[in-house]
This record gives sequence, C-alpha cells and structure tokens, in this order.
Amino acid sequence: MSDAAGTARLRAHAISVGYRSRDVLHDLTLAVPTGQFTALLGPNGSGKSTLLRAFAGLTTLRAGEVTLDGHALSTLSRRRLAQYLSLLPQTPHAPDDLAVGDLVAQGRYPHRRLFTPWSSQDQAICNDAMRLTDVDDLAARPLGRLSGGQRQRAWIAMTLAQSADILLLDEPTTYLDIAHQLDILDLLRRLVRDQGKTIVAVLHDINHAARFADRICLLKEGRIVSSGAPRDIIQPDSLKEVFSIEATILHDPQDGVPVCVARR
Amino acid sequence: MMAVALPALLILPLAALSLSWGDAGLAPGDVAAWLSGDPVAAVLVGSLRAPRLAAALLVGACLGVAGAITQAVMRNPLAEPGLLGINGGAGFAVMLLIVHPTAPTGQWLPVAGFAGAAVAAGAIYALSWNGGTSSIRLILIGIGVSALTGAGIAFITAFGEVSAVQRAMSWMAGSLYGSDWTRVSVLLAWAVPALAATCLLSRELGLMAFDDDTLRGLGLRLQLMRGMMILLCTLLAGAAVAMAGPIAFIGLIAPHLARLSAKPRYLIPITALYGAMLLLAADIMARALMLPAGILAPLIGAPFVGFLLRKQTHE
Repeated sequence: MSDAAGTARLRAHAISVGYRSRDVLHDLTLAVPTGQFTALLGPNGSGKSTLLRAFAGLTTLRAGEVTLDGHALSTLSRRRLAQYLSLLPQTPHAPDDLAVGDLVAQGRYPHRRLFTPWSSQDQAICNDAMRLTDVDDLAARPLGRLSGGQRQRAWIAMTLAQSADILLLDEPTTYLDIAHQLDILDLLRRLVRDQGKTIVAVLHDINHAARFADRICLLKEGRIVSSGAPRDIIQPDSLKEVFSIEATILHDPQDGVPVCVARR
Repeated sequence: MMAVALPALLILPLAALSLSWGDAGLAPGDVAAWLSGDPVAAVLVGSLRAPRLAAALLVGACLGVAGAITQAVMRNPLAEPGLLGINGGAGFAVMLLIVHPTAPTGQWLPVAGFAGAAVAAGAIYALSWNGGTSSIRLILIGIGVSALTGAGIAFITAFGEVSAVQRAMSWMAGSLYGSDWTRVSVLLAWAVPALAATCLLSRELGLMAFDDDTLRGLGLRLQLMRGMMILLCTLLAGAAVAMAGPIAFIGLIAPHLARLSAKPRYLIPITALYGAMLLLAADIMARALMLPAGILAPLIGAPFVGFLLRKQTHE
C-alpha cells in the first residue's frame, strides 16, 4: 500500500464512517496514486461507494481524515474542492429535457462566480470534454433521447468540464451492454494516459478491473484486504477471501492480462 | 425575446382595460387625465384602479416566482407555495385573529397572514431537517402540516361564531378589493429585493433538478442554497398572501407557461411576468363577475393543468 504513496495527492488517513450503529468503513488508510487508474473492487456492502463518497468529501467521518495535497477536505470549501475533484454518482439525475451541451456546461459551475459571464474559454473546455467523450454530435439532443451508453458519456463529459485533476466514478459501467462498458473503460484509460487524470472508480467486473486499471484495491467489510497492481491482486487466495469464490486465474495469451474464471 | 414579448404584450392591454373599465368607464384620454391632476380621474384611477392594478401585478409576480422556487426545491412540477404551508398557515392565523373575541382586526390581518405563513414554512423546514433536508421529506412534511392547518381551519369554521367565520371565509377566498397605495408600497419594498435575489439564484434554481451528490460534487452548498430558496419563497408567497389572501394556481401555472418559451437563465423574470398577467386577468374577471379573484384564478388555471397533462402524455 505504500509503494505509490509518494505521489498521492488524495489520501484517506485511518478513516471510519458509520451510519447509526453500523460501521461501514473501519480505520481505513489508502493513498490514491496520482496519474493512475485505481479500481475499487469488493462484494456488495463492502464500503466501496462509501469510500468513494468519503474521497469526494460527501460523508461525515467518525474518525480520521481525508486529505488533498495535505489539507483536510473539511477545511476546503465545496467550490474549491469541486475544482480539484469531480464526482460521478452511481445514478446521477438531471431533467430529461436538458440538452447534452447544457448538461456539460453545468460542469463549469465551480469555476464561475455570481456575475462571471460564460466565457469562450468555458465553451472551449466544454467542447473539448464533449469531443473526448464522443458526444459532440449530440450537444443539442435532450438527455431523455440518449441511449444508456451515450448518456453515461454525456455525464462523464460534464465531470470532465469541471477541469478537475481527480475523477471519482461510482460504477460507471453498470447498466451498459458489454461494448459500451468497454467503451467507457477505454475512455477512462485514455483520460489517464493522455490527459494525466487521476481516476478512482468503483467497478463490479473483476476482469474489467484487471484489464483497464493500474491498481486494484480489494475491500471487504469496510477494510482494505489488499491493494496493488492487478497481476499481484487477482489471485485465487485473495478472491476467495474477499468474494468467497473459487476461481482459476488464467492469462490472456495476447497480452498476459490476468483473467478470472469463477467456478463457484 | 419572444419569451418576454408575449406576456408583456398581454399585460399592456389588460392593464389599460383594468384602468379604464369599471362602473364608470373612462376613455384612454380620461385615464391619462389622472396624471395631469384631473380630480375625477384622480379618485377613480389614482386611488382606486391604479393601486389595484399595481397590487395584481405585484402579487401575481410574487406568486409565480414563489411557485417556480417551490417546484425547483421540491423537484416536483406540481408543487406550489401552498405545499410549503403558506396558505394553510396564513389561513389558520387569520381565522384565529378574526374569531378571537378581543383581538384587534383590520390592519392586523396582513401581519397575521404573513406570520402564519412564515411559521408554517419554518415548521416544515425544521421538521424535515435530519442532518440536512431532502426534497421528498419537505413534500411529505409539507402535506402533513397543510393537513393540520386545514383541520384547524375546519374546526374554527365549524365551531366559531358565524359572522366572524363569514368574514374570515371572505378573506380566505383571496381578493384584491380595497388595495391602496400604502399597502402596495409596503409590498413593493418587500417583494422587489426578494424578486431580485431570486433572479440572482437563477443558475442554482435550474440546478436543483439534479441529484444531491452531483450538486455537491459540482461545488454547490446544497443545504445553504435550499434554506435560502425556502426563505425567499416564504417572503414572496407570504407577502402575497398578506396582501390578497390565499390565491391558488398562479404559483403552479406561471412557471410552466414561462418554461414553454424561456431559456432557463431567464425563467424567473419571465415567470414573474406570467404570474402578473394571470392574476391581472383573474382580477379583471373578478371585477366583472363581482367575485373574489381567488375564486377565479383556479377557473383560469384548471384548463392549463389539463393542457399540461395532455402535453406530458404526448411526450
């Protein structure tokens, strides 16, 4: 867990999060390596989404703190935070009649003050975001008339328009068919490689995480079981411990990426 | 441009009609004579019709904008300020004041109306607070508080002294009868800052339809915003109810009419124009039929609800 700690801007220091009497995260410490794609994996209820929300400063911590560049998130204003971190919730909601271009434009919110007019720079950033996510042709189309994959790309464009260095995504591929899932993951990969973004995403599919993420973090019952490069993490023992499954790990003959075949 | 032009074009002839038409009809030239000091026109126009026109426009604008705020905060296109307890609270307070044997009445009615509205809205906000508020909790508790005030009003209606209840009921019907410049200027001083503040929040009001996590992720101080919006809505709708009694439907319909043509950025001022236009139209009909405007507003409003439902099912 300490290998990439030197280049981590976002860190959780011994955080505990709980709702009522139930603790969702226990004394969890994690450094998010800058400029890499980190995938959070774990069974339902393991605290993945809660950890992501804690990184976004959206949960009240019982203990510990989350820091960005050494400053506790609680000491930063929401607007300031939004300039550094952008969040895509699991099921984001916006009006169906909102056009894609207008949705993406909302990403500029944290950069605009009460009387700041919309600038050509704002527009250029939105155009870039829509081009990267391949929704530039859909700018005028209302959200209600998009397919699931287009809609998810439009939302990612909005988070990109926020110009934050760190992107936090909660299950960005859920409800999409396999081709669109790969599209989104490939997009995230390119954002890390070409734009230098830092990405933390909650994923469900072990094989997708193995193929697209730089690092995988396995969670179980609010604790991190192991974290590191996919090759080291995707092992029968750790999968058994976290998911209680019997799995065989193969390697893709083309590129050696680990592939998990779960038997039971 | 079209968006502003349409309600404004409708308001102008209605305003002219409202100033010139009445038991004693006036030609346009006679209306203008008011400004040059003609004594007859000064009474008819200057102290009777003009303040009533101003009151209709202002109250309508307040109700429309309060409706737009309620719909945004509650994330529900069918919400109106009544759901924030405004009408129920004001109605209950005024009822209490009127039927109370020793309480002063007259000029205190608007004060009681505003206080009742503010207390009810404040109670709804406070009761829905649970480490923050949410749209659905506001709606549910709003319905609960409205039912409670409704029950209180029904109780007083059933057991109060008949002539007092009669007077209270005529206030509850909602009317612009007897508007004068003093009250109009109080309303003006009250409503204009609140309307201006709401215009400044246009961007945030538009964003309220998004989910909470997305909004906070965008850097919005959600609880602060929601609190401010509910405060503004209470100031606007409370002032309207204090001036004219409870008038339904304007707050529901005006934002929908505005949305048909206005860009989100200009939604608030256009909603104000439509609200003003609707209440002015209702008040002119009210004068023609000798009925309170509050009874006629739903008559104008009901067909619009049908129209909106039709539009939604077609989409």
